[in-house]
Amino acid sequence: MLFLEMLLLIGLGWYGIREPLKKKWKRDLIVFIVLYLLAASILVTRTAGIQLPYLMDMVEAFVKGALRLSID
Amino acid sequence: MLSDKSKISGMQLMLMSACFLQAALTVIPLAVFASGRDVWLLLTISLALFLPFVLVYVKLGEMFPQSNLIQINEKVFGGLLGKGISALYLMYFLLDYMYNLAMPSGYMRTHFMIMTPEAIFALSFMLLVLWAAKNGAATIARLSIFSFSIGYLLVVIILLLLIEKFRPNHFFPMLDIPFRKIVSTVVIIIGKFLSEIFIFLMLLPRVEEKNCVKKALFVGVSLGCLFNIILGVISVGVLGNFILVQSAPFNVAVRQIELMNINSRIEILVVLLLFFSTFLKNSILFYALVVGAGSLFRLRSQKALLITLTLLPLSLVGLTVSSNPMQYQSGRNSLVFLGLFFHMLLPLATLITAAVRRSAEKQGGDGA
Repeated sequence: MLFLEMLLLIGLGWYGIREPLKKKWKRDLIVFIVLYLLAASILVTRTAGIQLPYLMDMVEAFVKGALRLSID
Repeated sequence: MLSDKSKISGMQLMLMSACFLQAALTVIPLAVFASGRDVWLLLTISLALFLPFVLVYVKLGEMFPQSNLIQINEKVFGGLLGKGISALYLMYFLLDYMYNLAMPSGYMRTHFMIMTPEAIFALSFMLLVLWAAKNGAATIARLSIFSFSIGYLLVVIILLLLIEKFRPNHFFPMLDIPFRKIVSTVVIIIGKFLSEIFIFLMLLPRVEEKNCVKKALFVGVSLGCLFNIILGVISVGVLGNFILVQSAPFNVAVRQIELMNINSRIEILVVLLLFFSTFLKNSILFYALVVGAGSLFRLRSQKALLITLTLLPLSLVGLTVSSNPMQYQSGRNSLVFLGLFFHMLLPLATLITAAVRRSAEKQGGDGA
């Protein structure tokens, strides 16, 4: 599974970075690298067995905190 | 997609908006928690209350006919604040996309293929959505006629098959719930469900006939909500008070179908409904996400953006909600407030700010 995942990441990364690298589109390159690294780091972290928090739990905590702040 | 020049007609916009709301299959589980058997009535009341608000989206579209929501923010709020608000919108689009993606993949894993990783369903679904959105708004619009027809056809078939199980007394007494529960249900329905139609502010620049937008959105929202009202009526008519203890009342209602004592468990109809409707909704959400990111960062490469915006949700598959009941709880507790903020408050603030700026510019111009 880890091998397939690495293969997918490297393949997609190479396929996506080719065009902006060739045409020297700086902005595209920066956005691609940032988003790609974010996705890759989440994937690798999860494959390593580290449990990340659920999105909706974080959203719920944020909304509750914001509502409490606005009431206070 | 970033250079999407395709056009959609008023009729296609109407069907897309109807299909978008048809896909809100979580609205009944969310609303039934407080409203019980009055869910269908409160859906009707919410529709009547929300329809005038659609004028806010129509007016924004009229004031900025060639701009999507991200571009409108920059024009209205200026460079830095506009980009900040647009970035918030993009994060919300991603969250909404993840939430709606969890529905079909979670359902398949929970009810049919328990041992298969959720990522497999999510990836297959995402690739389909990617294909639809990549080909532009017109492709998604052309698919909407099928999604709309299949949705209503399936519901009519289910209604006919369940007619013998209907009990009119299940609907009475009506509105026998505390007023605060009526208000909370209406807020959930409007905040999480109906006002999600704001996403069409990303598609309005693609509409060819600008004078049809108001009628298309009004009729589309009504048809989409009517679909869910029918689902509510079916669920209540068959289940009655049992609806209160069901996390997926429509599924349970459909399980009551018996065809000549040979076929029961015709939930496959529900699965078909789920896939057709959520496919279109997710395509529109993904299209909005990619076009929004392209507009915000002024990107030129479509391929790179498509890859990263598919990879990111894929990496988060299975991390959206811990379980189906938690999905409904999150929808009730947190997404409603986020929805009210992003779907209604921000667009209204944008409209007011735009109107004030225009009037100030006009006065300044007249003075000069």
